[in-house]
Amino acid sequence: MYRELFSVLTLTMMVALTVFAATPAKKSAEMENVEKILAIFNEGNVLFLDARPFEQYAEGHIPGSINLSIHDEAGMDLLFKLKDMLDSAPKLVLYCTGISCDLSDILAKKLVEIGIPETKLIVFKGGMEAWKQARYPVSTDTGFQKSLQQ
Amino acid sequence: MFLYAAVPKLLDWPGFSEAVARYHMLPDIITPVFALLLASLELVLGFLLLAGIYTSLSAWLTIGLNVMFIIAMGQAMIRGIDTSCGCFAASKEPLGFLDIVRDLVFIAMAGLVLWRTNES
Repeated sequence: MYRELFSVLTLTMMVALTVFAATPAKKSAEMENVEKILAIFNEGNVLFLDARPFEQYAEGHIPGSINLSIHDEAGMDLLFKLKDMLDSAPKLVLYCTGISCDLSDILAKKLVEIGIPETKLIVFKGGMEAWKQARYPVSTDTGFQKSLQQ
Repeated sequence: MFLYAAVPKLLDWPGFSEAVARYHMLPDIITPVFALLLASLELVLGFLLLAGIYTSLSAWLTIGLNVMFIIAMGQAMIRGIDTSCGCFAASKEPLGFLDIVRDLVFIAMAGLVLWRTNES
C-alpha cells in the first residue's frame, strides 16, 4: 500500500513539475493592469461597477462607481432599474475586492444574460486591493448610490 | 470525471489557484502550490481509475479528496463566502448545495469501485 501511495505521489509531483515548467511567466504585473484601468478611469467616458456587498462599497470605492451586489435583492432590483444606463455606457469596468474574489466575474455573466454586450465589459481583476495599493483616489460617498436606490 | 475536471485546471492553474484562494482556507503563500498539486493529483487519479491501476488506493484517495471538497464548500457556505465552486473550468455559478450533492455522488461512485475491487 505504501509503495503504491509513493508511486501515486511521485506521479503527481511529476505532473505538477511538468505543468509548472511549461507555464509561461506572467507577462504583465498587476500594477501594469491597474495603470491601464486608471487610464480608462481618466477617459471619463466609462461606468465603474462595484460588485461587492454594500457595506464594503461604503468603506471605500472607486469614485463615481455604482454598487451592484447581485447576490442581494436590492442589487438585483437596481440592476434592472439601471438597464438603460448600462446599455448607453460605452464601457463598463467591473471590480470587486481583488484577485481572490469572483463577484465581478459573476456580475459580468449576469450583465451578459440581461443583454449587455460582452465586448464592452472590462473585468478589473486587481479590484479595490490593487487600486488602493496604487494609492489612486478612493471615495466613501454613498449619496449617489442611495439616490439610485430610491 | 476527474480527468474532465483536472485538464482545464492544469491548463490555467494560476486561475485555479485564485479559485482555491477564494475559499479563504489556506495562507496565500501555500495556495498556488496546493492548487497545482491538487489538480495534478486529480489528473493522476482519473488516469489510474480509468486504467484500473492501483484501483483500491485511487478510490480511497478519491473519497478523501471529495470529503475535503465538501468540507471546503461547507465552510465557505457557512461563512457566507460569495464564490463559485471552481470545480470545473466553465462554472461561474455561485456555490450551492448541488455542488455538495455532486461530490457525495462521486464518493458513492468511488465506494462502488472499492466494493467491486474487494469482491473480485
